[in-house]
Amino acid sequence: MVMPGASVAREVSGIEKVACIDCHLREGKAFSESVHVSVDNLDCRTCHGGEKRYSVETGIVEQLRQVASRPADSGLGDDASRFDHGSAFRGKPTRRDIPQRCGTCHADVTAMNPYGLATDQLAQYRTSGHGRALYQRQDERVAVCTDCHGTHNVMKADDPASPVHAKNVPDTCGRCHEDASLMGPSQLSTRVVAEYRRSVHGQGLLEQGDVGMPHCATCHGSHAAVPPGYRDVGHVCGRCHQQEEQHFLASPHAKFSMFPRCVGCHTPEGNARDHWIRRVAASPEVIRETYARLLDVHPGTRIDDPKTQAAFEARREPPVQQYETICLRCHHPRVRSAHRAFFSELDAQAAQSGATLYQLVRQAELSYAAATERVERVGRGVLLVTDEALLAEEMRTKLVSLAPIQHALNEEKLTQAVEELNALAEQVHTSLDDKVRGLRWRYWALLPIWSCIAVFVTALWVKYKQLKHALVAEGTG
Amino acid sequence: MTEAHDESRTTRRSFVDVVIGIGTAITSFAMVLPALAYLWPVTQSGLGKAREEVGDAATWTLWQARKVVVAGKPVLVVKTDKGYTAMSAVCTHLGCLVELDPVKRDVICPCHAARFDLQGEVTGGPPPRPLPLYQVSEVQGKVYVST
Repeated sequence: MVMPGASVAREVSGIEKVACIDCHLREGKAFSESVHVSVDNLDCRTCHGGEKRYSVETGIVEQLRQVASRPADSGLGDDASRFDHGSAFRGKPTRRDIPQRCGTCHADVTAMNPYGLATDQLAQYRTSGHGRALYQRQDERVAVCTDCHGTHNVMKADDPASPVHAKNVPDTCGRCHEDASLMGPSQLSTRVVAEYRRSVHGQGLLEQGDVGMPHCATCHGSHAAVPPGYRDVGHVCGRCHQQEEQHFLASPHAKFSMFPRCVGCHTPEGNARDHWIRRVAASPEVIRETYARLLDVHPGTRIDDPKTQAAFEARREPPVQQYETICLRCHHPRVRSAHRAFFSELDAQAAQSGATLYQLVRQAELSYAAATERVERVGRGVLLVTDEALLAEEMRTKLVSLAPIQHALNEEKLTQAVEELNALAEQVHTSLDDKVRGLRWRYWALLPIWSCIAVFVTALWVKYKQLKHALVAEGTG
Repeated sequence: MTEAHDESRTTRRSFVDVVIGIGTAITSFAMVLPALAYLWPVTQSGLGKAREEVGDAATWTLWQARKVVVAGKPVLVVKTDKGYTAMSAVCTHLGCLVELDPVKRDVICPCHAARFDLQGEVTGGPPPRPLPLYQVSEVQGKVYVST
């Protein structure tokens, strides 16, 4: 039945039964570690066709293994041509056939139902940038299923070793999207993955290990991967940043269709294709750390002192200059833009509004930093500051909430939020003042206590002398 | 003169005795007090578990939420129609303090509009994990939360 290839010698007589993995060791091992190994009725034949077992002459399996282990690009020809796998054998699918081959099961509702898996991946893939290039432009260099999921070693997406695990997605996409030879013909940037790695999202995912952070597929889709349109960027960001989007839609910028939305302010140059998304608001932790360093250098500094404010601004990360430079990208007389005439009259108003908003934000940041730092420092002593620590957490919440509110560019709304934060700071300081005063009072209260102890000890000493004197007198008498 | 001298010595001795008596009484009381405190009923659980009283049940109205600190961590305690429920008040997204939404009767984070149900499970928004739950008990009119 089986006709070994020309390179396989017929030295030993007799027949033995072998399975695919007896020759294809590497593929067999990879398959045994994949998620597919536990699926009933799924084996090599599901994708490649062929027979379950083959009858071969005894003793030639080792030679067959050597043939099977040759790399495809070894120049020694296709393994399939050297060994007759039977009439049902379909061989290695072409790149164009791979999505359809995977879709045989993964687009089958009945087959996927027990696993609770979606069955629209193939349909989604056809709508993706990859799928359209593959099926409409016959471009076989685009990504197909196996490029992202692997071939024989397909793993669950939540397996940390899977190429489609959240933490591995940037590298997986980067294998093609950082390759100039692949991206060149489509005129796509090869910097996007590097930009993402530097972004607030990339650092959160790759450096801090927060798998809740968005990666490439979160914004672009996975099977239906396609870049969001210019007008859709805000909606994509708004899927997670709901508060920011809600406030932005209430801002004067929302009604201008040419406004570059989120990326206009959150990328270094407002380029809609830039993936280096940066935060403009400083995190509460950074604010506290900045203020603590300031206190170490200038102990006793006050937050209403202009020198303190200037020193805080100089140390703040991200730098406060962002507030100015971002606004001036559009609101500057020297900006050349086809749409310039629409908003040139608002430059002065925008500059003043921007300065006011920043003053409010800085005031809130310093207020938060001073109060929480004081709670921390007082708490290192003997006083219990549980209630004040809870208030400090409330302040932190208010401070984090300021970031979305800023998107409305509404001074009144922001002022109200900052006043609420300041009221909490006032509560913290008042409560700590009371406790510190009480502690001082207790220190003073020690004075009469120690005086009583001194009197008691003196009395004991006098009594001792009296008794000693009486005993001596009695002995001599 | 001798009588006066003896009277003076007697008065001084009496004064010293009184001072010693008072001092001894205070010292004895300070030693007995811990023994009495030991006999007093225990109000906190042992084995490293924090159990803290968070308020009188009588003053707690239905669907009222309170933020308390248990073992140094902010906890949100809510009185529902099925009893009390307590969960970490720290949002698992960016660490803001969550609040009860009395209208929808679920928990909301004011920073990024995340929502949680009263079992702490994420029902909307960006948080990656649910809010950890705490045990709540009502004993003799007092509400206790333990880790």
